[in-house]
Parts: sequence; C-alpha cells; structure tokens
Amino acid sequence: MKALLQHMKLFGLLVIVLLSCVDSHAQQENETVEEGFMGPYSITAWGQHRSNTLDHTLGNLLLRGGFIDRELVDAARLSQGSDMGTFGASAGAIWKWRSNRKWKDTEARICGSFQARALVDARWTPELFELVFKGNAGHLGRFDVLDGSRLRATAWATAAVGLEGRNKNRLELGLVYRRAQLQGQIHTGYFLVNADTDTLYASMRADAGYDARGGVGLALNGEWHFIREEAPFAFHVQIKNWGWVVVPGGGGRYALDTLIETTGLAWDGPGWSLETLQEPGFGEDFLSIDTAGVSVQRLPSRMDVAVEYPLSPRSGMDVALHVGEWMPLPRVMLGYRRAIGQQWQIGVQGVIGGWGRLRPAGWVRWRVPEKHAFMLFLEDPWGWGSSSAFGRGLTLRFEAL
Amino acid sequence: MKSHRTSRTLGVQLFGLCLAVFLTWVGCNRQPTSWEVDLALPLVDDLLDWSDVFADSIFITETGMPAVLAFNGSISDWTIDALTQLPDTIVSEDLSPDFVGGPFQVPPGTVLLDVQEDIDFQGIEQEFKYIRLESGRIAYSVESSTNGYVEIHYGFPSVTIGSQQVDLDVLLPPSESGEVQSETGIIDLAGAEIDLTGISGAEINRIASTLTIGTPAYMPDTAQVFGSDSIRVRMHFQDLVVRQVSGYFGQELLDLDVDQPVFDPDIFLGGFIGLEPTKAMLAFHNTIGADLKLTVDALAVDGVALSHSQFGVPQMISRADWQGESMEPSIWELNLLETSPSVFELLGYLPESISVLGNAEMNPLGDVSGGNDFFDTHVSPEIHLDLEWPLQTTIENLRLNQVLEIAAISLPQFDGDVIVTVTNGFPVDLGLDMIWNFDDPSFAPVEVVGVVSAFDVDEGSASWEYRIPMDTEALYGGSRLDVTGSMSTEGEVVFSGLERMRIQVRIEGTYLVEIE
Repeated sequence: MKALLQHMKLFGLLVIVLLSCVDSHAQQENETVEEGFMGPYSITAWGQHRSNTLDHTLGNLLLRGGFIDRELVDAARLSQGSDMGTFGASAGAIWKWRSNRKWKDTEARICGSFQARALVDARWTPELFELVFKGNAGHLGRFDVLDGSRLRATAWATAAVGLEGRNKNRLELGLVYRRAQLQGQIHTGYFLVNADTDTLYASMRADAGYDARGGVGLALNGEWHFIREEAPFAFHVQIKNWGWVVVPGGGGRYALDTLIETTGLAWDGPGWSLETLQEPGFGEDFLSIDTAGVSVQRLPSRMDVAVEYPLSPRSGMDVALHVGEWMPLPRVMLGYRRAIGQQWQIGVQGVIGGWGRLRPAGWVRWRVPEKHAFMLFLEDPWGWGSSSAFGRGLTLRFEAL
Repeated sequence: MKSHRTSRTLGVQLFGLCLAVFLTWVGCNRQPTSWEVDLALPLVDDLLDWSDVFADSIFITETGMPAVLAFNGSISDWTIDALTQLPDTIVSEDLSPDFVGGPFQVPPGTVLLDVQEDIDFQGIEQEFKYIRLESGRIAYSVESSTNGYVEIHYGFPSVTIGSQQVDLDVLLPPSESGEVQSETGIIDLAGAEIDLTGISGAEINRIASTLTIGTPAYMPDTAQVFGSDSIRVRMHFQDLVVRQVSGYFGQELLDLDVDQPVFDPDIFLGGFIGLEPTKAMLAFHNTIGADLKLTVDALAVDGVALSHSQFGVPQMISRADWQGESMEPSIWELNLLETSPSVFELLGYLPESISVLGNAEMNPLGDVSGGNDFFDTHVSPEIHLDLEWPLQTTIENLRLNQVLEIAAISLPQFDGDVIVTVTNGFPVDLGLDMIWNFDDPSFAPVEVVGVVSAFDVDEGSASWEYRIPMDTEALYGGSRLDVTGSMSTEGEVVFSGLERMRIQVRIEGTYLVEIE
C-alpha cells in the first residue's frame, strides 16, 4: 500500500507537469471542427506469440494436441542451444479516444482508453526441456539444472481517463481489474542419475500459486512525443500499465522444498522407501499448501521508446525499444518506411529480442485524410505460411481521424 | 458531415469483420498431447545381512574369523497382576441431623463432624504396608442441602505426592429450599506414596484419613439446619496402578508360560543351519524382594519336548537384595547345552517357536521377612538368555523368502525392462527364484531363476543381473514380487559376520507422456 501511495503522488506530479506543458495559446491545428463531445479515436487489436525454441509445428502440437515426434524435439533443442528457452504470448484490444472540448482555458482535452489484455510468459533451462521431452536416459551422469524455469499468465482490463495536450501527449490514470493470474517458478532445482543408473540426486525448491479472486488497482498510461518542425527527428516515449493491484487473497499457494540423494529405495521402513512411497499422504512432508492473504502486486508494465528520422519527405527510418511486459529481453525494432501515393504508407522492420530471435516485420497503412486510417502490422510474415517459424504477430488498427 | 459519419461506420464494420475472422482463426480444437520419454531410474537398493537373516536387532555380531553371533539379554518379562493392580474403593460419609423439624440456628465456626478413620481397601489378598503409584486418581463428590455455607476438609495424612499431603477442601454455598449444592472433581494420584498402616501405624491395606465438616468461621452467615438436611461426601479411588509395593505378598502361585517366536515361517521357508553354540545359558532373574520356588516343567521346540536333569525339580530362589533404589537379583541358571535332544539341533531346522512351561510359588516358607517383601514393576523378573554361536556352520538348502507388493503404476505405452542386480557378499552360492505375480490374471507370472556365485576373496563380490521385459499393462494392474533365495554349503563354512547381499532394481525404457 505504501508503494501505491507513492505511485499516486508521482501521478499527481506528472499531471501538473503535463498541464504546465499545455500551450495556453491558440494552436494552429488543421482539424475538422465537430459539435459532439467525442473526438478522434482508435481501436487496436493484436495477438502474437514468440519463442526461441518452439516452432509452429511443435507449438501447435502442444496447444492443440497430437503426438510430438522426437525429431521435432531434437530440432527445438538445437534451436534453443545453451540459452534459456522462452515463450511469450500477448493478445488484447484497446480503444483510445479524446474529446473535442478543451479542458477549462487550456488546449488540453479530456482523453481516455479502455483496454483488455492477456499475457503469458514461460522460460525453461535446456536441461529441463530435455528432461521433460526426451527423458533422462540420454544424458546419464549429467547434472540437469532447472533454476529459473517459470510459467506465468495474467489477464486484466483497464478503464482510464486523463488529459491530452499538444502533439498528442497524454497522461491517463486507469482503474484496473485483474481477473486472474497464475505463476510457478523453480528457484533452484537439480536432477542427476549417474551413468550406471544406480545413484539418483534430485533437489527442488519451487513455488506456485494462483489468485482465486480478481484484484483491483490503479495504473498509469502516458505518452510524450517530441515533434518539432525545426528538429530533424521525432522522439516518442510511452509508458503502459505502470501500476499495482490489490489482490484480496484466497488463492492457493504451493511450496516444494526437498532433496533426495539415493542409490535406490529400501523395500520398506520409514523415510524414503517403496513402502512409504506407495502410502497415501506421501509428499505432504515436503509440499506445503497454503492460502494466500491480501497482497499488492505490480502489473506487467511496459515502456516504449522510439526515434523516427526522415530520409526524405516521403521516407524515413525508425528505431524502437520496448522494455518490460515480462519480456525476458528488451525488444528492438529497426525499420524503413515509405509513402506511396497520397493515401498509402508501407514499412519493413527487423525485430530482435523479446521472446525470440531476429525476425522480419512489415506494415501497411491506408489513410483517407481527415476521415480514417487502417493499419495492418505483421510480425514475422513467414510465420503465416511456414511451419518452421518461431512465432507470428498480427496487429489491426482503425483510426477515426 | 454525413459522408464523414458514413465512412466511420463503414470503418468500424470492416474492423469488426476483421476481428471476427481473426478470432475464428485462433480458435483451437484440443486433442491430447503426447510424446515419448526415455527413462532410466534406480528404484531399489537394499542390503541384507545377518541381522536380516535372524530378523532380530538384538542379536549382536562380533566380527572375526569366524564371527560370533552373540545374544545376552531378556527374552521374556514376568508381570504379576496381583501385586500391581489394586481394586477400586469407594468411601462415603453421610451426615444427617438426629432431630425432626427445625430450623436450628448454626453460628459461624461450628464444627458439625470431626472424625479420624481408616479407609480400608477391600479385595486385596496380600498384606500391603506401602505402595507408590504409577497412576490413579480420586474422583470426589460433595453435596449439601443445608441453608448455610458448609466447609468440608478431607485430609489424607498418609498419602503424599512429592512430600505434600493430599487434602481436599471444599466450601459449598447455602442451598435454597429443595435444592442441593454439590461439587465434583478429580485428584490425580500419579506418583503418590501411600502408607497403608492406618492411623495406628500397625494396620495393613488401610489409609488414615481425617474428615471435618462445619460452618466457616470467616463467613458471617448463620446456617438454618432442618432435620431433613444432609451433607454427603463420596471418595472414589479409581484405576490405581502400582509402581512399587511392600508388605507381605502371601504364598502366591504364579504360572510360567512363555511362548517365544523364533523363525517366521513366511520368511524362513525351510532348510537347516548347523547351530553349535559354545555357550547357551537360560537364566531366571528374581528381582522381587520375596523368595520364589521355581519349577520348570517343560521346554519344547515347536512342540517337541526336551528333557533336562533340572526339569520338574523345584528350585529355591532367594529374594532379591534391595538397598534403596539399587537391587541385586537372585539368579537360577539352566544350561541349554545339556538338553536331550539338543535344543540347538532342533533350532537348526528353523522352528517357529520355543515354549517354556512351569510355575513359581512366592514365599514358599511363609512370611520370613516380617512383612517386608518388596516389588518394583519397573524391574520385573525375567527369563534371560546368554548365547554365543561361532558362525562356522553347515547350511543345507536354506530358503529365505521376501515379498514386495508393488502398487499399480501408470506408465502409458511403457516399453522397457526392469533390471534386477544381486551382488553376493556371502561365501556361499545363492540360488534365486523370483516370481513376478500380476494382480491381473490375464498376465502370466514371470519367473526368473538364477545363481549368484559365492563371494571370492580374490575376485571380490559376484553380481548377477537379469532384465525382465515389462510393459504398460503389466505395471498398471499392480503386482507382487516374490523372491526366494536358497543356500547350501559343502561342509562347514566360516563367516566373518561382515557378509552383505545387495539387491538393486532399476527401470529403463520408453513411455508415453500424455497430457489431456
């Protein structure tokens, strides 16, 4: 709660800064004058998934079922190399709007957004992947390190209002309802069966949990765009879902902490033996089950930073950096854009980081001036036709200008 | 303006259509996901040594060439219920006025009853003077119908717990007309020491007590007593279990009937072990402070009676010498090497039990101690065995059996082997006969027969490995592994006592992981 209060104070300070930046003088904007409250808006929907290990064939089998051939597993293992395996998925939709009416005597306008998002993040060590999908027989005598493997998923919705100023700079405070979240993590874990198959060592310290009831909280969304005619570039910063939720508790919490080093179990007797292993209740000594209390948890927030540099009046370069939102690595996008005719724009990009390795992306935008615009963004276009790609992404945006 | 709004509506519809197509595309049709996993795990690692052969941890192996299997300890305790359990006793006092009508005024500080009397424990045939209790309690209840405060003091000057006298003090408030005031409770007597010589100090089986009933001097209340009023006190001595007792125990006749299990027939299926101990003394330790006349009538091995010169002959065993808490027992010994036929020859055939029959008479000469017999239940009379057996022996077709129940294991599409490895540290060839019986009768039992070579000093331990093909259906139904080991020697073999046999089981194979 203390963090939440600090968050509120910071938000208040940022509102003051934003309002002070709003030019109180008349702004020379060439826009349609409308009578209604609602001004321009946009609706964006997206879905994407990405992995550095699981290609489409293997991912489809895991998601939709079927038999996973060993060749697929070997290929995935080869792709992962010595890196941490990753898989991420993100989907959602957002409606952003602003009013036509100005806020008091300023040029600022009331703005807002409504968004619903779902996020999945999974990571695993190469040894865990091998242990799960190939078994231990192929690498007897090797320590399998499982540390840091984890899975988490969440879904939430935010309704936010704020103020939009010059250059579409905006700051919103949103009410968040996080419907669900689950997570599991292996803090430390090792597994070994020696070459003669007569010694087993296994240790595990892990926890998992889920929220039984939805949490409510506050989040901050902000955008700042540096656009100057005299400057040879544009600079954009966005902060999304920077906030916390208060979770009322009641969900399950599981903690496992055990170690076994054995050359095999005894037939019977106390402790680890075949007799006790087959008794009901075995495992209760090292698996603790609890119920979560009230907690304050941070949302998977994200910050985007982008720079656009025009090469000519109809073309330019752009670089973007995305950090957060559970991505194991920052995602970097480097692109080239070009206008075609009066209403079309296209762009190509190279994307690296996030949950995957280097992949291409492309987009096209059709804009009817002062009316509307459509934008289609495809991440890894080969992913729409190739079964060996490691993910794909689609973003659709409609803008009412 | 109209065309502007129309284009917006069209845009929203187009976007909605695209979104619907997208959601339809991502819709999935879930089937079970499965893949094959190669497994190699150790399951069992167990050691068998001489302590497992004799299935009794009280055997001590003195290693050497040959090792000596030795045992020196109690094989049977003797409990004497007549000395350790006292009958429950109830004591009641009922105080009623010897007049009709009333009321009579009873001022504060008036004593209505003040008596000293012995509580007599009925039903005890012995003449106890002192007991120390292991456990027990007094359940009391007091009642009064008097319209005034009643103070009751029940003292037991001969009952102490930790040097503190046991007393009961109760104050009952005035009773309304027709009602009875009462109080009940428990006094724990665990650890209590009780002098049973009564008020005079010369009685037996009696507890001295004092009972005082009156009105409390410190309460300014005048009791109204009617002729119909009454005051009742009830003391119930319950579940008294004796730790120590002294007195004269009488000429109690005690039966000696010991049936000692030796070899479990489920484990020891048969065979012969040449047992030739160098020492085998069976002793009776008299720890009671009272003389005993012991008569051993018979010793039998699995029903086969043995003869011995001392069987049927009464043996006078004098009382133990108790000095405070220390004690020196009187011992009577019987040399088991002198039985006919030899008890160890019979033991070599792995009998289930040995039985001893006889009796003992306490104080055969009467009260020679002047009522000073003594018994401590923590130090009971016992039958003691002192045995030493050099492990240099002949073994003929000794067969040992062990059964392992294996619960149902779900390993879908398992295709592999269960590998059994036996490492023999005994200098004797080990015959193995393993039968894997499955609960599902449609699976035929798997039988494996083999021989694990004897341990050789130069070549070390010999191992024997056998792979048993196994599949999902066989594991799923549950099973029972029946292992029988057999040994035979050619003549006498010397054992060091360090011999071990290691049994390892591991599983190797491929199975199908399936996630719904």
